[in-house]
Amino acid sequence: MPKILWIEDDYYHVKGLFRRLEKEGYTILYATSANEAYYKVQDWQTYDVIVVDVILPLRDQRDNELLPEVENWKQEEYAGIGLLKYMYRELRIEVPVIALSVVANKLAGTLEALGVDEVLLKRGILPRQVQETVHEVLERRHHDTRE
Amino acid sequence: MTPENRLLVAFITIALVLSITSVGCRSQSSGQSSTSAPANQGFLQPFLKDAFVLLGALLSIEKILRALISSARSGRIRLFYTQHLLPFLISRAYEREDVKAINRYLEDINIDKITSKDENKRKIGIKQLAVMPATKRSFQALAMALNQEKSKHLRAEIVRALSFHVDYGSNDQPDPV
Repeated sequence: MPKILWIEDDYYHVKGLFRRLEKEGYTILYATSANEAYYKVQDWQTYDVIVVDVILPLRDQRDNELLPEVENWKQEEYAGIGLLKYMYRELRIEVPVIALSVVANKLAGTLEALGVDEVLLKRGILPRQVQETVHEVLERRHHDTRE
Repeated sequence: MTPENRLLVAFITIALVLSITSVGCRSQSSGQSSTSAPANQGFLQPFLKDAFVLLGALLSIEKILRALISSARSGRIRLFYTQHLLPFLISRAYEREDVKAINRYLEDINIDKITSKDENKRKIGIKQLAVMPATKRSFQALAMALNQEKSKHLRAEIVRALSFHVDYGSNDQPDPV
């Protein structure tokens, strides 16, 4: 079954949003800070979809130290933007990415220019909308690969 | 049927089943057959009494829970609210697809973040509240955070967030609970 990497600091929020996909049999892996996400995205080939919350803390209490690469993301308005730039420009990832954030509307242009597949507004989003979007991006990618 | 009504029906069903069971046990322990005339005569009275006592107790629990949530949200027992009650409420709101409640809890999460000891967490909470529709509650939380914040950088962020909160009254919603 597909594997999703969800990068977001509100764990309970994620749990609620992803319950439907978990019931379908999807495997959800979490990263709750930019620091932790840095390690997890190195294996981007092992995920089918990556979901990123743009407003991310650089580190959380579990992180021992802030990585120098992640420290550079401080220059961005939101750490998630730094992470996305790193994913697309340095790692050259080829898995679908969904950006989900309360600032999604404001940053839609920037996110799409970076290569993000779908931009979702976090406020008011329902589990079935997340489920549908994940299905759509997977289907689209599957279709593109066949062509 | 709303989730609350479903819960009420479930409570009543449990109360009825328990009452019937207890009546059955009582008549058996007194050595009478449950189909005999003396047992049937007093069937309705203890059954209704038990059902009402149980229902009353369950409704009181619901009342206490509502009062607890209201008190916790107002900040009196915030730790209990954010660590134990909020995860349950968020999950329930998602199941009901109650957008207003979800948004309200999202605001609660961010209000909790701006009072955190972790500076990174506070920063994220402020940034999120700055872009969310302003409410009286978030305005008050940010104003309180401004009084307590020692970091110059974060104070500037709070002031910026507050500048988006001038029309806070227009987004206020009644409590979802």
